[in-house]
Amino acid sequence: MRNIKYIIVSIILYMLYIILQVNVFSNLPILGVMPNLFVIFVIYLSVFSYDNVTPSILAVVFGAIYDVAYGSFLGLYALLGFLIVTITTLFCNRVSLEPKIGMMLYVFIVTFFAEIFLGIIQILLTGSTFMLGDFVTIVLVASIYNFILTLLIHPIFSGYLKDRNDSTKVLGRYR
Amino acid sequence: MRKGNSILKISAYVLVIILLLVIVIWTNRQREGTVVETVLSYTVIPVQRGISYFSSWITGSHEIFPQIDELKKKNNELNSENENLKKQLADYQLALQENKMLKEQMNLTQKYPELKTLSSVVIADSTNNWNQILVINQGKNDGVEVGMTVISDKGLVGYVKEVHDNTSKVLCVTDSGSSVSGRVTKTKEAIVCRGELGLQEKSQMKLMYIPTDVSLAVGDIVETSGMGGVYKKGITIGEVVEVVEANNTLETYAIVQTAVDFSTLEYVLVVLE
Repeated sequence: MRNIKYIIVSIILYMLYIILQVNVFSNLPILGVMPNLFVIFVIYLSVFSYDNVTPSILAVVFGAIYDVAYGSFLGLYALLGFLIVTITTLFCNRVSLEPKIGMMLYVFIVTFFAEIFLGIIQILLTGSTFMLGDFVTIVLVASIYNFILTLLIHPIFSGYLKDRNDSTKVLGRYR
Repeated sequence: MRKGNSILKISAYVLVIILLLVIVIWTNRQREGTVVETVLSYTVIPVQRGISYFSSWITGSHEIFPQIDELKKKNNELNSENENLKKQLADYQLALQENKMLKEQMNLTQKYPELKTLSSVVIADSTNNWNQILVINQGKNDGVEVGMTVISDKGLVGYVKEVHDNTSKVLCVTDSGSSVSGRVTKTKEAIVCRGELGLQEKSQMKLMYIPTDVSLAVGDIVETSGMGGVYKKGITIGEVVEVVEANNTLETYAIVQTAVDFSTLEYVLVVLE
């Protein structure tokens, strides 16, 4: 039951993410760079999950839909989503992402590597010229943008995250 | 047993990653959508269109709110009159929007009368930092094919990279992976225009491989040469805004401000022939 609830909430949040990314943040660039809300969305998708398989499947499906609708290469965001879920799930088993600063730093680091990954794929597959200055600017500004956005987003989810972690702990005792 | 399980798990993860990487590399070419993409696009496109219309509705409506606030301040005697005014204003704005759209479409077809074109609406523009792709509301069902040139009333936009039943993706000329064979309108000298990462968000391109004997100056207009077979000949690309000269061909380059402002692009024409 809670998995169904989780999937429904994920779909609603995904639609919200698309609206924000396509209609809002594509018009609000900082130094010509947009935030990567997909990274934030997938991190929260992993953090709120009750198992490892559901968020992986959802991330691949949501990533593939994004690729079909707006992307340049089919499977790129699906792969990115899968990697983020895998890493976040592993990370969550060791460190709590409940504190705001912890989550902000985690989003910063993941965005940093995600943008490098996307940039390298773009350069390799399209034969674009590698411009170090522009590359670093995009990676850093996107990471900082996501870092700031997490500051605004995290308070909305932190309460739910605490409840979810508490309920998991209680259930864990009777396993 | 536990070790065997973890090896199986790791193998599954690696397999998924390899599979997705193969898909990414395989789809990096001009192509028609696969069956899976077509099915996905049928589910995504209505939502995408809805979002697009919702967005334009919001943009259109926010101008009315101050008027509504003003109406509320008026006294009771003027209320009915104000209601009429409000209705008229809404009609006027709709008419204005329609007029703008028709004018743009008219300009487009008048500028290139020799070309058989199809007018399209941009339903989504670039949504990430690494490439510049537009989604338009015409697809395979409307006669759009992969590789077709896309223009606007100002000049060259790009070409159709991917086509689905009801939508298509257009790779803009400013995309960092895009390259256009061009020529200087005044002197007819051939040059190559390339999109570049730091320039794409400013709607600019880089002119490369400029022979040392070519006289290029700020203000020169650059157009497509028709060579390479991707773009039609004689479509305006943009205007030279900076020339960086060097002793050899490889180091000399120029910056071109594209005629099309990609951040405000709403309507485009797909060249059908």
